[in-house]
Amino acid sequence: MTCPNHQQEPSADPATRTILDQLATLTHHGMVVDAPPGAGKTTLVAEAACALAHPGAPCAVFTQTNAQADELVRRLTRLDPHLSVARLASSQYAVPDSLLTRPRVQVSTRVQNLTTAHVIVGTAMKWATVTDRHWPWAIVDEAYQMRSSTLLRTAGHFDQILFVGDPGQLDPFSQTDTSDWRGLPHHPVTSAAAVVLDHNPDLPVHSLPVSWRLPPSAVPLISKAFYPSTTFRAGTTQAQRTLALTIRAIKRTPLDEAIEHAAHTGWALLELPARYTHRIDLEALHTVLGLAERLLLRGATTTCERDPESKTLTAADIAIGTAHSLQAEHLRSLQAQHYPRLHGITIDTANRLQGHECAVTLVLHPLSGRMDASAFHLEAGRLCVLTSRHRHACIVVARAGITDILDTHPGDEPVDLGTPPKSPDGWEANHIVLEHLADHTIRS
Amino acid sequence: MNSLDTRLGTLRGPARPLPHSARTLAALTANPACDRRSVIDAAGIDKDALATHLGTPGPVRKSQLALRFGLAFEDRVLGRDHAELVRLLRETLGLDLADVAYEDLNRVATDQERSTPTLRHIRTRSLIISAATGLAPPRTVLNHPVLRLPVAGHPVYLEPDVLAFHHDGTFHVVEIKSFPVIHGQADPVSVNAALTQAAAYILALRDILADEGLSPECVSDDIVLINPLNFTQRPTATRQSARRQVNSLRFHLDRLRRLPELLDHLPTGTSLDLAPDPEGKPTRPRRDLAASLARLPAHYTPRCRHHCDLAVYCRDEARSRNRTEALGTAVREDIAGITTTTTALALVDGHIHPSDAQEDITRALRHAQRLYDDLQAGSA
Amino acid sequence: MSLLASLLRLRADASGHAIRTSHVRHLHLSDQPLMMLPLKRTGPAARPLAVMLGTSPLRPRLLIAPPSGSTATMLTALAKAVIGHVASHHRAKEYLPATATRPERARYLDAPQLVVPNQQAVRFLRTLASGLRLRRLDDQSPSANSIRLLGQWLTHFTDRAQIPGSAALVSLTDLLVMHWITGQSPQDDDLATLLAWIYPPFGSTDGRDAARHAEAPDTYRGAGPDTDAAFDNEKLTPLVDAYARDPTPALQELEKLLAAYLQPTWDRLWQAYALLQAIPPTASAGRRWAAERAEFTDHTTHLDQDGRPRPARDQAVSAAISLERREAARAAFNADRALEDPFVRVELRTTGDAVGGTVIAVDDQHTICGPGGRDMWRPRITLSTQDPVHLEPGRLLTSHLHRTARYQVRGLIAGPVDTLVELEITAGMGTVDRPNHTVLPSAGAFLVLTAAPEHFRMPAFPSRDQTPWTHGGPPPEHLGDGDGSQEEQ
Repeated sequence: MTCPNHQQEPSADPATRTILDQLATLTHHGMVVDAPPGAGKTTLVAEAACALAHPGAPCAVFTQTNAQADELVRRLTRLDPHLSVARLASSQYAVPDSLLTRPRVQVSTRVQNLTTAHVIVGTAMKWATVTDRHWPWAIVDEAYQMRSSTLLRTAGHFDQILFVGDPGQLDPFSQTDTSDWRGLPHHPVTSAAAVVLDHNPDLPVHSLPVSWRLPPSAVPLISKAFYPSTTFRAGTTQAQRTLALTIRAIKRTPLDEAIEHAAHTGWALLELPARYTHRIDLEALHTVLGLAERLLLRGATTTCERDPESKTLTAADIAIGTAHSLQAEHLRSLQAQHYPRLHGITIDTANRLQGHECAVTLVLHPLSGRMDASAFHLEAGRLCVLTSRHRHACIVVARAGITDILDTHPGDEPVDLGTPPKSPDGWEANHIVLEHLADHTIRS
Repeated sequence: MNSLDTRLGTLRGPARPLPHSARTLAALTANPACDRRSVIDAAGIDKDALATHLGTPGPVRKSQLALRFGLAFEDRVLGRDHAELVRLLRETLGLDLADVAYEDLNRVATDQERSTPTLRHIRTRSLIISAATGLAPPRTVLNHPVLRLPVAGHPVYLEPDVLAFHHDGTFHVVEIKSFPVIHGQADPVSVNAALTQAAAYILALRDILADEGLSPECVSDDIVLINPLNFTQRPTATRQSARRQVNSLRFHLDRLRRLPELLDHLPTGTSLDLAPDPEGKPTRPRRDLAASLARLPAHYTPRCRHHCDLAVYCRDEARSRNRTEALGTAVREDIAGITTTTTALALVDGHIHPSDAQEDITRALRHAQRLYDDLQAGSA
Repeated sequence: MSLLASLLRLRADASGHAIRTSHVRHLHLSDQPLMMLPLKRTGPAARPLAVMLGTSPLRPRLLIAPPSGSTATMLTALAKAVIGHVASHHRAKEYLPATATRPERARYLDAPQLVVPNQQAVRFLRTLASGLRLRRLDDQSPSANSIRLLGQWLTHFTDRAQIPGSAALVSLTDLLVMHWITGQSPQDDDLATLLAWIYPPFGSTDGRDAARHAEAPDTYRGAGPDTDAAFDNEKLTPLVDAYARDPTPALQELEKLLAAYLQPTWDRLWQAYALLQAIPPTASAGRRWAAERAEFTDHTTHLDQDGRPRPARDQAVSAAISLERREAARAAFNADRALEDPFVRVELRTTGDAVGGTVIAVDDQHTICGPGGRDMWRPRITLSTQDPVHLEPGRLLTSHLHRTARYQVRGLIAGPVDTLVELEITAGMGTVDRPNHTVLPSAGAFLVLTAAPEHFRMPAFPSRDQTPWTHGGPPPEHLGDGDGSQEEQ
C-alpha cells in the first residue's frame, strides 16, 4: 500500500508510525485521530495519504478550506517529490500560481480529469459535488471543524475513512435555528468526528501525544485548560526554544516589559486600564500592533530545534489573533497605514487561524473591553486557537476587568436533555487561562 | 451571632429571616453580577414584600394547577410502593430491583420531627454515613431526605426528592420534575433549573461525606431526572450530568465571601426594614425605603423578571434614572460605556463633547443618525 | 440588532413614542387569514385549554377543552375548523409549464395562512401537532382520523414557520417589530405592550404611558398560550374543582370566563393585523407566497398519495436537508430585504455590511486577462464613504437599482475620515461599446451597494436508505404509526 517510487523515510514519530501500521490492516470502517495543537496532524495526513494511495485508486483528502487544501498539496509534494498530487478545486477559486506551476501537481475542477493522481486534495464542499464514484479510502482533515451534514453527502463514496482533527478548536456552527435537532446524535451541525464516534462507538480512536509546535512553557496550560481528557506533552525542551531581544530599549515602556517578560516565560498579559469599549477599541488595536513593532525594533531572535542558529524574527513570523472579523479588518487597515514595518504579518480571527503556526502570537483577548461575556466570547475553542498557535511566546492584550466579567457571568445556560456538558467548559477554560496569565501581567 | 449576621440583621430589621432554598441558591447563578440580590438574599429579606410595599409587586409565581399536577406526578412515581421509581432507577443506574432498602424520612419521622428540618437532617445524615461506610445495606433509596449546606456561614436545609445509593458505592440525586420530555426533548431552561437545584444537593451530600473523612467523589455528578413521557403522565428517566451546574454553584457560593466587603460600602443607617404595624402592615415611608435600596447597586437585565421579585422595581428604577439597562442587552452592548439615554443622545446631537473613551462610539452613533435622517428626508 | 436599531430604541425611550422603521412589508398577508389564539392548560404537555379562532374579527369561535378527561371533542371541532379552512383553498389551480429542469406542475391559486400572536403559540402548535399526527392508528373512527389529519396540517404550518421568509404561519409580534422600534427591551415585547407603544389608545399621553397601563397587573392580559399563575389560582382552579363535582354548569362557566379573558387579545390581534396589512408588500413577498402555494400543493399531494406523518425526530438525511433549506431561505430572505427595503440597507451600512458612497474615480478602460488569454473588460470604480465598511476583498456586491450588477471589492484604503473602496465591476456593465451607465456610473454619482445573493447549487444528499455508516446507516422504516404518545384519558 505505498505509492510508486515511494522513497520517503518511515515517520520518525512513533505515535504516527503506530497509526500508519494499524491503518494498513484496519478492518473497521475507519479511524479517528485526535491531535492537539501542533502534534503533527498535517504530517500524519500527508503520510497516511501517501500510504493509502493505490495505483488506480487514489486517496481522497478532504480539507475544510481552500487555503488548507493548498497547504496540504505543498506538504505532500515536499514529503515525496515523486508523488502525483491533484488539487480538485471549484471554478470559483483561483488556485495560487505557486501550485499551478509545481511539477507533478495537477489542478482541475473535474475529478474525471485527475485519472493519474495518487492523492486528490479538495475541500469537503468540492468533494460533495463528486458523484457516481467509489473509492477505497478518504482522509478527512480538521474533522472536528467539518459539519456532520457535509460528511453525510460524501461518506457513502468511500469504503474506509480516516478522520484527523483537533478536538479543542472551534465547533461548526450555523446562523439558523437548529433547536429542532438538539440531543440527536446526527445533529447536522455537530462535527464529523462527533457524529462518527456517536454512531460507531467501537471505532479505534488514537491521539497524538506530543506537541511539536507549542513550547514547554505553553503545554501544561493548554493541556489543562483545553484538553482535560487527552493530555499531551511538549516535544522540545526549554533550552531548545528561545526568544531573545538583541537590542536594548532606551526608554523602557510597558510594551517592552511585556515582550521581555514573554521572551523569558513564553507568556505575557499586557493589561490596559479598564474601559467598556465598542467592538473597535483603537487603543487596544494600536497596543497590539505596537507590540509587534517593538518585537522587530528590539531585534528579536529565536532559536529552536529546526534552527539552532539564532534566527531574526520577521513580521511573517508573527500572527495577531482576534475574536471578530471586524477587529481583524481594522487591524489590517491600521497596519497598512501606520505600521509599514509589519508588512507580511498575519492578522486574522480565531476561526481563520485554525491550523496556523507562528513564532509569536499576539492576541486581543475576546473579552477585552466588554461589559459581559456571551457564549460566543466564552467559547473554549476560540481561546484555545488564539493561545496555541505559537512556537515561542504568546502575548495577550486586554482591558482590565476580565476577571469580573467571568466571575459575574451567569451560570444558567439552557441545557439540551441528553447532551453531555461541553468539555472543556468555556467559562472554566477562560478562568484557567486568566489565572495563569495573572502571574504574567504587565499593567500599561 | 457573628458580626456579618449583626450587620445583615440591621439591614433586615426585626423581621424573621427567610431561609435560602434550592431555588434562591439557583438564582445565585442566574445573575451573579447583582449585588443587591446577593445581599438581600443573604440577609433573608422578603423581596416580594419589599416589592409589594414599593408598589411594584412581582408576578404570582406558583400556579395551583401546576403544583397539583406536580404532586400528582410525584405520587405516580413514588406511589404503589415506589414501583415506578425502582423500575426507572434500574433502567438508568442498573440498580437491582429485588433488594432495594427503602427509607422514607417522612414515614419514619414523628410529626414533630417532620416539622423540624434539623432532626430529619440528623437522621438523613446518619443514614447516608452508614450507607457510605457499608453499615447499611447498599442499594438504598432515601425519600424526602433533608440535607444541610452552609451558605455564607449559615446552614441551609434542602429537601431533595430522592437520593439513591448504588451498590457500587455511588450516590445519585434523583429529581422528579413535572415538565414533559417529548420525543426525547425537554425545555432547556427547565432542565438547567433542575440540574442547578440538584447541584445544591450534590454539594450538600459531598459536604456530609467530607465531614466524615469520606470521599466526596462518591457523589456522582450525574443525576437522574424523572419527567412525564410525551403527552402522558407515565414517568421516564434520563441520566444527565450536572457537572457544569455543580462547578458554577460552588463558585458562586464561594463568592459570597465578599459579602462583608459589599456591606462595607453601605452607609450606616441603611435599612430595608418595612416597619410593620401590629397587623403586619408596613409603615416604612416608601421614599425612605427606596433611598436605602438605591445604595445597593442592582444589575438589572430583562431576564431578571423570570427569577426575581424585585425585577419590576429595578427596571422602573433604571428607567427613572434614564439608564439603558431596561432597553435590553443589545442596546447596552452597542453603546458600551455610555450608561444613560440622556448622555447617549446628547452626544449624538452634539450637546455635549465626547470624552476620549466615548469618541469612537459617538462617531458611529452620529453616522447612524445621519443615515437615518437622510432616509427620512428621502422618503418624506 | 444594528447600531441604528439601538439608536432608535434610545430615541423611542427618550420620546415615549414608537419609531417607524421599515415602510415595506416582507411577508404576504392574506385577506382571509385564519387567526388562532390558543391557550394551554397549565400542567400536562401541550394540552389545549381553549382556542379562539376565525377568519373575521367580529365572529370568533371559541373551542374549549374540559379541564380533565378527553380533549377529543374539542380537537375534532378544531380539526373541522382548520381542515375546513385548508380545504377552502383546494379549489382553483394554475398550471405551470414545464421548464428545462422540471416537468409541468399544478399549483393552487391561493394557500391558507394561519396567524398567531407570538412564537410561543407557534411552539405550542408545533408540539401539539407532533402528538396528534403520531397518534395510534388502531382507532379508525372519523373523529380520530380528522384529529390525525389536523396534526398533519399543523405540522405543515409549524414546519414552514421555521423557514425564514415563509408566511404560512405568521407570528404577529415578530412582524410588528420588523416595522416599529419601541422604548422597551426586545425581551419584554409582547402583543399588548407593543401595540400600546405603537398605537396608544385614545387618552394616553404617549406610547410609554399606554404600555405602562397595558402591563399593570390588574389590566395585563398575556397573549398566551400559557395562562398566568394569578389567573390560574383565582379563576381557573375553582372552576377545575367545580368541574370535578358537576361538569355541565362548570363547563358553561369556563366558556364564559375564557371568552371574556381572550376577547381583548383577539381584538388586539386584528388591530395589529390591520396595521400590518396597510403596509405595502414587497415584490419578493409575492414571489415567496407563490412558492408557499407550491409547498401547500405539494403537502396536499403528499397527504393524498402517501399520507405517512413525519416522524417525531428528523433522521440524519432529513435533518441535513432541512438545515440546508433553512440556511438557503435565510440567505435569500436577507438578500431580498436588503434589495427592497431602504431601512434595511441603512441598517446594513451602520454595521459595515453594506456601503454607500460617492464615486470619485472611474477607470472604464480596465481589463483583466481572462481564461484562454483573452482580455476581459472589467471597469473599476473608487467609492469614497464614511460608512464603517466591513467588506473583505473578493466580496461581491450588488445594487438594488440594478440587481444583475456585480461589484467585486478589490481593496479598502482607510483615511482619517473617509474610506476609499476600490471595486471592479464583474457583471451587468454591458459592453465597452454600449456600457450600461446605471451600473457603470460617472464620478460624483452616489451608490449604495449591498452583499450580492449567493446562488450555490448544492449537491444532493443521499437518499434515506443510502445513509452512510458514519451516520448509523439507513434508519429503520418509519411506519407512521403511533409512538405511544397517546393522550391519557
